[in-house]
Amino acid sequence: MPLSRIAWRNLFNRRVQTLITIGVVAVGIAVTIAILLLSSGIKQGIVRASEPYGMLVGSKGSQAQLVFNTIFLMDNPLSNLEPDYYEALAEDARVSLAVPFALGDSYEGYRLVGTEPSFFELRARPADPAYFRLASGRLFEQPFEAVIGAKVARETGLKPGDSFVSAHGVTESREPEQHEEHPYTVVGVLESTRAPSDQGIYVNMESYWLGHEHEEEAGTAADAGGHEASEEAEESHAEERGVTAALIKPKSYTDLMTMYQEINQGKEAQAVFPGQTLAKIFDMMGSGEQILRYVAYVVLGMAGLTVILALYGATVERRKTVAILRAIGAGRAEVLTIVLLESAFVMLIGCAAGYAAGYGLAWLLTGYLGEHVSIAVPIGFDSQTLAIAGYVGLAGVAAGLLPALSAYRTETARYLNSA
Amino acid sequence: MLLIEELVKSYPMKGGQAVKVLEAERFEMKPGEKVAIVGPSGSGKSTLLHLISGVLRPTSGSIQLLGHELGALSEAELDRFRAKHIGYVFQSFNLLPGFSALENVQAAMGFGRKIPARERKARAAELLGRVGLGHRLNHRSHQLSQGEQQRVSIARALANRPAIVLADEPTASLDGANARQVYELLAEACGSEGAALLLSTHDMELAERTGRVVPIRELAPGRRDESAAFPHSLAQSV
Repeated sequence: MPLSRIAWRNLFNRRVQTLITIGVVAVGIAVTIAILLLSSGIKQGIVRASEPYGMLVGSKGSQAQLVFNTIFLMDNPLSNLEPDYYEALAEDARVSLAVPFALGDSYEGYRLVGTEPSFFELRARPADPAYFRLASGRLFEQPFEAVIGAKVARETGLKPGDSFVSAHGVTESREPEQHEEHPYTVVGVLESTRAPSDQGIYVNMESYWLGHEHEEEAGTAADAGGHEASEEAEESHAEERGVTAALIKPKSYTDLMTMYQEINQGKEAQAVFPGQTLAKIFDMMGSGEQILRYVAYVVLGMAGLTVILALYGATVERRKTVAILRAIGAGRAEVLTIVLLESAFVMLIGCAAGYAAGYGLAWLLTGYLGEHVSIAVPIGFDSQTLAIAGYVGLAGVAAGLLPALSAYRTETARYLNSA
Repeated sequence: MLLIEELVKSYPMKGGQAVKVLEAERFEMKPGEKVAIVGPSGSGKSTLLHLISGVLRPTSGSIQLLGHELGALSEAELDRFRAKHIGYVFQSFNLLPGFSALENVQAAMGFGRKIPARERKARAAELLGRVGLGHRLNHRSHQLSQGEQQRVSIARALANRPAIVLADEPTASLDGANARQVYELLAEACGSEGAALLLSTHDMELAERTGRVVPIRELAPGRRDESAAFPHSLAQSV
């Protein structure tokens, strides 16, 4: 009978302890691998979500706020860019595509984005297909037509032909500040991009401005009343027709860099590369991620100690078996091998199960993140995860040396006559 | 085949003193012979068998088995020698827990390496059949009665065609009928395999069936190695 079979049988005899030990190893590995995969996957997912937007130009202020407004449709928008400034930017000879972007009201918590049909031509790389594609319906053609993101369609049940009324701000409550005089009609639904853009409701700039002008008018009329107030509002319309950001795709890399420098040297606006800003944010998040990793390593350490405890505890039970094996001819080296094989089997199964569970857990959490934050987290093979499983496996087998040596030293005669 | 001379086993105690647990001046066995070592509990019968099997090393003296001086063998050589040439039957059966009857016998063959791997299963089944367990091959040790467990132990002891089977109180855990049956099986199986049998027991009726009874205290220096003609009256005094 091969030694491996004897080792396997011994493990089977202690199946409860064996399963608990395997479980602890698997949980330790799974948590570590899931944290590793998610931390790198979330970064990739966020960076991927920012790729189609090119260079963001917005009014001076926080770079992060501009990125959050535009890519994640979160946070309060910075003040608008002046219409003239945007016009000049769009007509700049170095620009191949300029897309206006205005973060506005909301419907059931989903933000309205004022833009132009050219928004739907954005692509991550020139050779890539358009990033935003219609799943059904058509693009907006006139004011108060809306194209909705995949998540908006899924969560609200809106479909082409339906209409809705937006609310001021991002509140989900529609009661006090509904713009009932301007209902929107859904004309198209976008395919899922598995990015925050799935949570957007896209309307043309005219809709965005008209909605805001009405707000201003209503506010001014209520405050001052009468014809004079209405005239004041008319005058301010031209100033108010700005955008919160411009998405700029220059014609060349040189154009990109010169424009970036020019804009940032000026006083009216700032230019931001989303990837660069996100990298800074990731740096800030790095210490938190590191803490999570340390937690995972502590879990792994505890798993290691449990393995040692379980294997060492088993040596006490195993003494009689070792004595029998020695009496029927097993040498000390064979006994040592059997015990090491036992720890190797436990670690192999624990590591394999933990490895699979780690990917499974990461996949489940990815689904959760996709569902709640609309960030597609790519989970691919990472050689680092294999290295972790390998190192833990080897450490576990090394930990098995302690009980193996104890078995090696078992006094045969002493345990042969014990009950 | 087996020659023991001037054998001493003692254990060191605190204060530099030593306690002697066994002394044997001379003891000899011929191939195929059946011998019973008799004596009360604690008289050193098990120690003697452990020394012959090599699981214990003597403090001094000589044990020659099949022409090999056991004291001259390294531990690894002794392990291999034990696996090939010595079978062991214990009072408490000592089957590998969780292993089937067949696996218990096969495990011993794995260490002995005398039986080719492809023949091991068939031989294990044949031996178990010979001790009346042909229908219990795949039963695990805890699923067998005590008598059946001891029969598996006998089959395991004979697995590697040993030159000698050491049986340490093989029937002490069994009731009278079972004890006789198991002894008969052991003696018959050893006979048919050509193995010598050295058993320790405090059961004189069983001892006398072997043909040669040796009281362990008669092995001590100054006593004679008694032979088959060991008087019943003396035996009763053991």
